[in-house]
Parts: sequence; C-alpha cells; structure tokens
Amino acid sequence: MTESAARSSTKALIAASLPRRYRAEQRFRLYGRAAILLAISALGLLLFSVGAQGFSAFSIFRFDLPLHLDTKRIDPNNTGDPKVIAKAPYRALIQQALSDAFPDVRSRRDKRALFGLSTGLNVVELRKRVIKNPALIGTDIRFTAPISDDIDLYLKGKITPRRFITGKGDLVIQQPNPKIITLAAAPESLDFLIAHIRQSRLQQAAKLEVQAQKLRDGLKASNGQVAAAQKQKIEQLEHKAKTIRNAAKGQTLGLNKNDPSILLGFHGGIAKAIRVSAGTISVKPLVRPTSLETTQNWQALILDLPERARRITDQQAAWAEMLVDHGYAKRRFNSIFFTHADSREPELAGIAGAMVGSILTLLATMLAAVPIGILAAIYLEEFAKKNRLTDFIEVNINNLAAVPSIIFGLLGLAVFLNTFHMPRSAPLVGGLVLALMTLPVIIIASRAAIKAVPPSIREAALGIGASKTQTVFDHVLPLAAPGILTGTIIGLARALGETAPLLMIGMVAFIADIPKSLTSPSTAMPVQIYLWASSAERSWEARTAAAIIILLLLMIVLNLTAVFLRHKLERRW
Amino acid sequence: MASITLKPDTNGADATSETHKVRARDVNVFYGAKQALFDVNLDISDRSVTSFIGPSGCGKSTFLRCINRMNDTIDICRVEGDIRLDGKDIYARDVDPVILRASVGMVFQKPNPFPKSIYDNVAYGPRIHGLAANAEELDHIVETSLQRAGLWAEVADRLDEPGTGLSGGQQQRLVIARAIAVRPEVILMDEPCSALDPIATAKIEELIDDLRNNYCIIMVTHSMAQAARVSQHTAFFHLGKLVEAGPTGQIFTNPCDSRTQDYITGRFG
Repeated sequence: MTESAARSSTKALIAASLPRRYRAEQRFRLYGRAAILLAISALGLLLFSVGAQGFSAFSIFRFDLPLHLDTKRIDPNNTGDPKVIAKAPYRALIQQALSDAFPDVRSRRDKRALFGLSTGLNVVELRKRVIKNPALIGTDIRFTAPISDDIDLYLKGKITPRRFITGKGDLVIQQPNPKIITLAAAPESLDFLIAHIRQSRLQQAAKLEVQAQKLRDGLKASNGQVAAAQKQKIEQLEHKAKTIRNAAKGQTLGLNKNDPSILLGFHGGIAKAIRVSAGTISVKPLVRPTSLETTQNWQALILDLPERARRITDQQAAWAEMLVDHGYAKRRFNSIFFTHADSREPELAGIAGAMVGSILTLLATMLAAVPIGILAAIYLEEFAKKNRLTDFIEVNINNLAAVPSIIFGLLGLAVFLNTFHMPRSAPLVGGLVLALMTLPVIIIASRAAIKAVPPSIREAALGIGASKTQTVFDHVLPLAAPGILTGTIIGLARALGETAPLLMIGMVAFIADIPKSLTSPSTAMPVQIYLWASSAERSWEARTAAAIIILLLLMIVLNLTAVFLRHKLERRW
Repeated sequence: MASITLKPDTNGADATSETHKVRARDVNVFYGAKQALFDVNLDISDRSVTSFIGPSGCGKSTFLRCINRMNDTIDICRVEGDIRLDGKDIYARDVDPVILRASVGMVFQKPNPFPKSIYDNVAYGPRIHGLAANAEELDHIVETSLQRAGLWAEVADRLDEPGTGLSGGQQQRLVIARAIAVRPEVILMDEPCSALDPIATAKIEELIDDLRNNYCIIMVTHSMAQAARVSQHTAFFHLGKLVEAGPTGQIFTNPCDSRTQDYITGRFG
C-alpha cells in the first residue's frame, strides 16, 4: 500500500468513527444537564415546600382589645409600690376585657372557653408592661397579646377553609326565640347551602361505600369467624351509607355533627344553622345579634370540616370572626418569633433563644477550631518532617473528618461534662464539641490550600534570606488564605447545622430564656427545629418550617461570605 | 579528581587565591540513596560570571543550590564536602543559612515575584533584614536596586502595581533587583533566561554583564551561546561530575576532555 493510500484509509476510518464520538459527547452533555435539572428541581421543591409551610408563621393574629387598668384592682391605695403592682390580678383584667367584648357570654363553661382565647402566659407580659410604666394604671390601654394558636390557625384558614357567601335578598326573623331563631329568606339564596350539604353527605356516603367495597374485596382471602365479622361490618357500613344517601334527599335538612358548619352573620351577631329548607333556616345564636329587624345585609360562612373533627368549636370560630370584624384582632408581623425564646405556647415561642445560642456556640467553635486548625495545618505542611509519625497523624486526621458527629458528642459528654465538670447545655461546651468535629475539616482544607501555593514563592522568599517562619507568614499564608477561608467557613457552616453532638451534651433542653453568656443554658437552631418538629400541636408545623427558613438563610449568608471573601482575596493579585 | 582552578580570563590579571570567592572541595550530594554530585572541586572567581553547562540532570543546578544552602529545604537532600565563601565554611555549625542567603542571592528559572506591589517586592528583603532605618532609606534602596537591575525607567511611575503584572523579562529583572536589594556578594542564577523571549534575554544578558563589575555571578544555562557570550569562566558538568572547568574561551575552543568537546559540538545532550 502506498503512503497516500494509507493516509486516505486513515482519514476514512476517522470519519467513520466521528459520528459515534459526537453522539457520545452529546449523550454526556445530556446526562449532565439532566443531573443538574434534577438537582435544581429537588432544591426548588425543598425550598418551595418549606417556604409554603413556614411563610404563615411570619405573621400572627394579635388582640387589639381595649383594656382598662383599673386603679382599684391594681393599686387601690395608690402606693406605686412595684410589689403591690406585681401582685395585681392581671388575669382578671384580661378576662374582663374579653368579657366586655362579648357581653352576652354568661355561663361558666362559655366564659372559660372565651378566656381560653388568650393564653395564661400573656399575664406576664401585661404585668411587666405595667411595672415598667406605672403611669398606665387607671388608663385604658390596648391589649395586644397574640391570640391563642388554634384561633390563629383558624383565622389563617389552616384548620378548615373559610368560605364566605354573601346573602341575597331579605332575611326575615320569624321566630325570635332566644334559643332557636327561625329565619325566612328567598329560596334561591338558601339553595346553595342546601346543595352544599347534600353534596357533602353524598361524598360521605361514597367514602363509606368505598370502604365497604375494600373490605368486600378482602373477604375472599379470609374465612370462618373473621369472614363473618367482616361481613357484619360491611353490612353496617353499607347501611350507614344508605341512610346518609337518604338523608341527602329530604326537602328539609337537619344539620348533624358530620355535616359542614354553616354560620350566618347578621346584625353584628353570628348564629349556627341547625335546619335548612327551601325558604326557612333555623339557627342557634353563638354571638347574639344586636337587632332582630329584617335585613338585606347578611352572609353565610361555610366551614367544611365538621365541628367534631377540628380543634376549635363553632363558638370559638364565631368569637374569632367577631374579633376580626370589630378590629379587636389583627394580623400583624410575628415579631415575637424573632424576639422570644422557646415557649410551651406556640404563639409565644420564638427562635431568638436558639439563634443567640447558635451564634454563641459558633463563636466558641470558631475561637477554638480556627486558630488551632490553621496553625496545625501550617506546622504539618511547612515545618514537620515527613516521616512515619506525620504520616500516621495525617491518616488519623483524615479519619477523624469522617467520624459520625454523635461520637464527638459522646466524647464531649465524657470529657467536658464528666471529667472537667463544665456546665450542661452551655454554648461553650457545644462550641468545643463542634470545634473537635470541625478541626479535621479545617486542617485538611488549610493543608490543601497551603500545598497549592507554588513552591517558587517559598524559594523566592528563602532566596533573599527570609526565615522559614517569615516565608510562611509573609508569603505562603496570604496566598493560601482564600482556600483556608473557604474551607473554614464550610466547616463552620456544617457545625452550625449540626444537631447530634449537641443532643449528647444537653443542649436539647427546653430553654425559655435567651442565653446571656457562653455558659448559660441554651439550645441551638437545628436542635430547636428538632424539638418543634416533634411537638404535637399543629401550630408548631409552620414555626418549624419558619425556623428552617431562618437557618437556611443563615447558611446562605455564611456561604455567600465565603464566596465573597474568596473573590476579594483572590482578585487582589 | 584533581582540583580545577578557574583561571581568570586571558585578558585579566593572573589568578591569586584571594580572588576566589567560592571554593568547593570534594562536594558530594545525595538525594536519599541516590548520589547526584560526585567529588566536585571548583574555585569561582569574584567579579566575574561563571557559567555551569551540561545536559539536563547533570547536577549543575544541584551544585548551584549548594552555594546558598537552598538544598537544606529539601528533606532528603544531604550535602558532604567543603564549600567556602571567602574562606569560610558555609556548612559550618555556626553559619546561619538565613545570613548566608542574604549574601548569596538567587534568581530562579521562572520569574517568581511575590504577589505584591513592585515596591514591596524589592523592599521585602531590606525590611526583614532591617537594612533601612527609615522610609526614605528604604525608598532609596528600592530605587537604586531597580536602577541597577535596569528596570527603574520602566516602573518608576507604577511602583504600586503588582509585580506579577509585569512582562516575563521585566519580572526577571524585578527578581534580580529584589536580590540586589539585600546587598549580596554572590548572585546565583538558575537558567535565568530559559523562560524569556530573545529580546528579554538580551536585556538580561546585558544586565548580567553590568553586574559582573560588582558581584560574583554564577549562572546555570542550557544555552552554550549564552555561556560563551556572557561568562568569563565555564564549568562543564556531566552525570554528576565536574568534567572540566576553565576560561570560557578555552572550554569552547580547546576543551581538554572529549566529553566536553562532544557536548559543545552538539553530539549529545
């Protein structure tokens, strides 16, 4: 074969293989894009779900009630003595303010429910406020404590959707019986309510039928006694479904405990519907209307979740609606969340305590881990002789970086608490434990950064007679600083998000005060999130998510700082 | 091997032992178990340029780095033998390498200015050694050093700019200025022009020729033409041994050893 023939065949071979090579490249790009898309969508989903859940916790419904600070009850002899003022019956004053807002609540049981709108802990705030400013005694103030968390959730529509329907035509009071009021309204204005209840009943029946069908499907597998019991159960379910279906058919519908609640608002009062037919509706007043005149100005409120399935009663819902209507409750920015420490009452709980705890802990971590880590890295990289001992140390540092964090917690428990008797739950101990955990990360990152400094710089400095230490601190360290900083901040960010080691040294306790020093009991943000996430009440859900948002923001700020510092230090040369 | 004494250039005065700035006797260097230099004996004259030539890996850079004890920084490197600067053993116990390196400056193959301003590059040495009593003195040192390195005219108005922003040739002259600033007696140059273009190389060579009047310059080079142009003395290394040393003219025109002959004529290397 001649040279030119060989050349052309080589070209043909390359040309033949080209499409395959390009396809491989394209595939690889596609995989890369798919991976990035997947990561971004996962992140987006996380942020969206956390954001959607936590957003509502940043606002809260607060009372805005007039409250009279009665001189006779607080300081009858006008002593001005803080001790006397401190002992005054503030609870009674708050209850008086609520009673004034709803004068028709008479029975003890109703009163207790009404007073439940304000948590008992609000007394503390009010007392503080009066002691701080005794001039308020005898005047009218606005009581602005947060409303009970269930009511707050209800008003945010988190317990059941609140659907308002504006009434059409006249609402005529036919029978102003104090217990049950019968009202007449144009049939077409009540039709919607009737249809809604019917639909809800049909859905209930359908649900029961589905349940029965499922049991019937499972019947074939079982036998004997079990089968007999199940058959009975199926019959019961089907009977119930049939009854409900029949109940949905009648012309007059009596509302029962499984139906959605329908509340009618008219003349500044709220009443709960108990029977609806084409032209009339019977209601039980929850907040007595001020007048029984015929009115065109009325509306219906549908709460789809039946009363027995939710945490607040129709009565409480009525009060809540009235409070908002009268301007006695307003949705405000939830400043409590940022100024308070933890509390048993969700409406009074905040992350300030955990945040300060986290900052103090991080401070202790930084003070302990950063100088030791960087200096250790410098020593190992620049000064230590390369021998078996340093090899051994290096292997161990690398291993320590991979040790599960809870082990460091156990170490802290054994060493700092049991041997040195340091205080439990203290940010100082938490910081030291996290420092132990972060140290290997900082050492490894710093060593890598120092190693990356070109040796020519060291030679240059040594060549004009700089000592080893001068070389390292004047030239190597400044050049390694961006890398060291990035590694350090990433290590600290990890420490900020760490929960497990803190559990072991008692930072998981319920702490209702904002920590004041490195040794005062405190908790940290991730631990707070853990604590709230395991709390039962619904209101904690939003607060947990909100705390996660704050923690994520803190992390983002830390990481951005790392990026910024790196950029700034690197661009200098 | 017998001692080879570098005779001064043919046009110079007769050699006396006093003019020998550096004297090396029986120098052996080991990297771990591997021996890199074998019994090197060499005398180097003051106020002249001495070139080390030889193929890659022949030990010329290793020997150069022995003269300012730069090899100390390599853990596995071990130096045996006797190297004297002005008659004083530089490997003696009481010699501090830091002081030694202040009087034996070094310029490297790749320009390695500090990532600092031009001024700080030159001022760093005087600063750490406390050579300037005040700011004016330091300014003066920086200015004269840059002038001697032939860089002053080019950078006088931008001393605050980073030294790494200069061109390769300028950087190398900056590095030379940095070495001069600590008032050394000997300047070691490890292939100072190998990373530079011909014009920059010419400038550096010119500079070296100037500096020869005040310093003992020892230069490693791969360019035989450069050795012939710039240096008064040349030493040829091969496989860790000093094969031949003498006045440049004699080495290039009438070498004693056949290996030198072969290397210079390009038969190997």
